[in-house]
Amino acid sequence: MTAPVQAGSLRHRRTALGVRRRRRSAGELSPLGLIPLAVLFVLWQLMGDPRSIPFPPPSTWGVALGLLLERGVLGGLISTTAMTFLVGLLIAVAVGIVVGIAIGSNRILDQATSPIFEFLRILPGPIIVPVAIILFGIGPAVNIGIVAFAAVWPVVFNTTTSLRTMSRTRREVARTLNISGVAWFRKFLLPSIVPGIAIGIRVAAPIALVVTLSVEFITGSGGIGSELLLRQRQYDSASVYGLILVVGAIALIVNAVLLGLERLFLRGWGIGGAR
Amino acid sequence: MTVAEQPRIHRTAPRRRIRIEPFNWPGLVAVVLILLLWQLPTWLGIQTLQYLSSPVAIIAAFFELITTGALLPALAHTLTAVVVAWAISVVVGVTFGAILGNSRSLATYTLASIEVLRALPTIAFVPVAMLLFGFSIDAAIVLAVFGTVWPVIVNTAAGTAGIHPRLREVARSMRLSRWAFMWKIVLPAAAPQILVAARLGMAVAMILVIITEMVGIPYGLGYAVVRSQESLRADWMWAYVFTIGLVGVILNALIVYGMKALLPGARLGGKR
Repeated sequence: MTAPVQAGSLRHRRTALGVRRRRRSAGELSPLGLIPLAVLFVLWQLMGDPRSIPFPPPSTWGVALGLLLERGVLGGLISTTAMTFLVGLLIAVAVGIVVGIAIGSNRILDQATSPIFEFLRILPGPIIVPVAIILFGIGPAVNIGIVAFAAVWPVVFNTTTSLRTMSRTRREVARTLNISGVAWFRKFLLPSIVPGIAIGIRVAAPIALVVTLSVEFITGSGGIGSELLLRQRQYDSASVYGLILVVGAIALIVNAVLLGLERLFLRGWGIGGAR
Repeated sequence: MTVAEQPRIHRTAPRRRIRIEPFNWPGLVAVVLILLLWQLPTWLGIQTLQYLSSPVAIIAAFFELITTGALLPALAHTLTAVVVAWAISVVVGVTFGAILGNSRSLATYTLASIEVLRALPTIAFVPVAMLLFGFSIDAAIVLAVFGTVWPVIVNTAAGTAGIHPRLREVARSMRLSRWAFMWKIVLPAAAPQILVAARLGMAVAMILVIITEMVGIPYGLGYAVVRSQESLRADWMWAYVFTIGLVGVILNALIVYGMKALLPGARLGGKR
């Protein structure tokens, strides 16, 4: 466990010596940066034509969302989408970690699977939707399976990579101390792969959300995606923008939750912000 | 400057090429095995999943689609949209990113807005693009640019802001002009991050173009896949799906190869 601690303190020392500037510009964002977006919305509201089809002003979005809420539709839309997204992502993470560990600890298996996995990773997620429909039909389970299939690759890839790049010193320390079994798993394997898994989940979550929406677009099986397309076909663009707002809020919440979890986990493992 | 740089490039290029990994035999064996396993039920006359066409049937369908002239126009539509959108995003994104990375005040007053826009799933804007542009390729291109340009801006800005202060001092002591400083120091220093964003951007552009074709505009490979699925021509569908995968692999390889040729010294970062 000495190696990660050292890395952490080194990082801090470097920061103190004056790379602070870079850290701030890359890390913390000034809330002042939201001004252009706010100005855009205000101008849009003031100058927009309420009857415009492509660009209805923001106040009409709120009215449209209010209508959906009043009719009791909005909650159902959100829960359908959230369900597909969350269950799909959870399965992807669980399967991805197991497969990643299996592949990362066997060199031949790693080489054997790499061309196939590379191909599947590059294949755009939404294209899986028609393939799954023709093979397995339509249904909530198929939707979840599609999301899991599309989101699993970043988890697999990052788990495998973090195992492959596990420092030789750390392996040798484990061998010297004659640590094996559960203790090895808890004290050596997990701390080595948790940062990689965290990155994998951060990459997988937006993919899962995108694929959830595209499943709903294509199958029309309910949820925000189906409603978005339906509203567009009715030229009800205020609802379209309102629903985009909801999707955006979901994306921002997911991002914030994952960031919080990542910090919590990495600190719990004593790894700091190691990448 | 260029004369001095020339020999260095030639020296580094071959050294990189030598370090090419040995051929991945286990990978080839695994691919062949899987294709055989996939083909075997058909040869033995066993019915598995009804619409899981065999590899031989898929290859036959692929050549059928080429000879009937269905594949190439669809491929051209998708490729045009992806490449045009990607090129626009990279040029615009690198320009704005470099400006933001060199101006603290501008970055303070814009980066948060860009982060918000970047976090939105662009795919949700497919209906808006349809409302705006109808059934035209512009819908796909504009949407793909909208999804790709933000990460390129953010990565370029981070890369240019993060260059070592000593490089700035070097530029000052060499009295480089602002343009020369950007071109000769900032961009090469930020190259690894720009490359990562460019690679990711190609994947994002591809996804957005394909989904727009699947949902909205009736052209391109995305539409071809959906239409084959709806008319239950599984063999055509598989052929189109593999074409899309191959296009992705080839575009990705072209970017990596092009970047290596352009910047022999740059580390390409992870394969993420």
